[in-house]
Amino acid sequence: MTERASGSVGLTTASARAILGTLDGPGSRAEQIARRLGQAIRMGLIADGDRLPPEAELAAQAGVATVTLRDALAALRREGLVVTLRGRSGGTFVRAPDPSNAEHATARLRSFTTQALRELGDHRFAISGAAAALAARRAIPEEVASLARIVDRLAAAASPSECERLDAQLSVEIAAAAQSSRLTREQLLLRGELGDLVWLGVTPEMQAAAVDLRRAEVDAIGAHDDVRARSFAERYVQAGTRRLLALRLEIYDVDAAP
Amino acid sequence: MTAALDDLTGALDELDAIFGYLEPLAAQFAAVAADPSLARRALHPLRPVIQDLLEQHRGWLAGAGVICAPGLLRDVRHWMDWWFTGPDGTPNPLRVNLDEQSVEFFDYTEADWYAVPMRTGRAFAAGPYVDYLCTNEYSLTLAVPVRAGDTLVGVAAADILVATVEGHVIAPLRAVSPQAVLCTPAGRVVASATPEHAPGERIDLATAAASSLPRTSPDATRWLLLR
Repeated sequence: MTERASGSVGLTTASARAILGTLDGPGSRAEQIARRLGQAIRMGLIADGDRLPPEAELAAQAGVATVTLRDALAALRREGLVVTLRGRSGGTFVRAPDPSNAEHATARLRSFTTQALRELGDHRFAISGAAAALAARRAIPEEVASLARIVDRLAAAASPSECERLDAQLSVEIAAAAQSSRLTREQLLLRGELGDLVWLGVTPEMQAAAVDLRRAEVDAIGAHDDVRARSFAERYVQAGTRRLLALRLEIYDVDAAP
Repeated sequence: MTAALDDLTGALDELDAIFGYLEPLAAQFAAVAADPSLARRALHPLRPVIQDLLEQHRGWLAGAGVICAPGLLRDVRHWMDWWFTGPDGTPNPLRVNLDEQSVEFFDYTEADWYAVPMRTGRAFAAGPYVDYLCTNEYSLTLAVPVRAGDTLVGVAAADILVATVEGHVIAPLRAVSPQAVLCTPAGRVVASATPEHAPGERIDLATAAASSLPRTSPDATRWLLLR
């Protein structure tokens, strides 16, 4: 474990699994790992200054040979997304572009078509709805209390990145309260795909409305009302998908303007 | 019937033996924690003890480690040294965010496996729960409080997969009754002999006739039997 004064250990076990969990795409294994890690850095899932775990450990988590991982890190180094420092406090560190940069979020949203956003919304609809319904049947009071605390923190959250992280944590914990490691993994992977886009363009009024929906979902889980819990979860996901579609269409307008 | 019940409690005794396996680790942690100006580095000698524990009880344990009471260390407020067995069979260190300034801070003081032994001063079996911060498996955590002198300095704990427990209890449970269900005091199913229930489901104990199982050790899982 790395030992910085803050108690932070850099890229966590759970994040590494979410980012490197399923490698399936074009290109070599090294290219895929470089693409996934690069995407996670640009999305702010791995913070600027975070230290990556040792190569052998990260390679084991990705299920590839150390030499493959080394190739992936070399590619990220060329892109300027990581730097490697030698010596006692050395290691590979993340150099993230500014995540609050609206241009960068817009560029990410531009890589989606409206059809792709609808597909992603469908996937979230299925996972979040099922997780809420099963959590309502299975959660015990301690788990409901933990969910309610996250909603309280979400209501008090000040920055979009804080909202995004708490919102993602709530989705993951609802899937865990459903006692499903598979649904939990799906939520972690979905976060890896969507990242900060979930909270892009959210005004304080929208934040308040989102908090109301999520609180209603958690209340329904606590009341063992699976039908209502699922319904609130689905409404929340659909509202988010509509907002992303609206933002994407605006980008089409901007791009078409002379 | 009685023989089947004996087999079931025997299987649970095997599980409870894990509390005993944790004693050497707890003793070493207590010895180290007697130093009033303790830093993270001072916990490193515990690592071979943790790794031996995982190696010796490979069939039972998925992970093990120590968790420090906030403020125990002088260099960080929160800390845990935790190892889990990777897919290749080697121990991997768990990385969680213990920086309380961070939004992703993992506040383990809210987790049952830390809070209950620290509050009661007694051994505790937490879960089943989805361990999404570590192996992402459906797990139990068996934890014992650690004292240095009169002070509780943290807990020593081990993770056991619910799948592992099922392998040991399902045959005696089926022999007890085709309706038998083993659940936690919160009503969470650990193992079930009937397809009417499955591990992770919740049983409303207000309407179910659940009885406690005969246990000998004071440090024992306090699960209930429905039949």
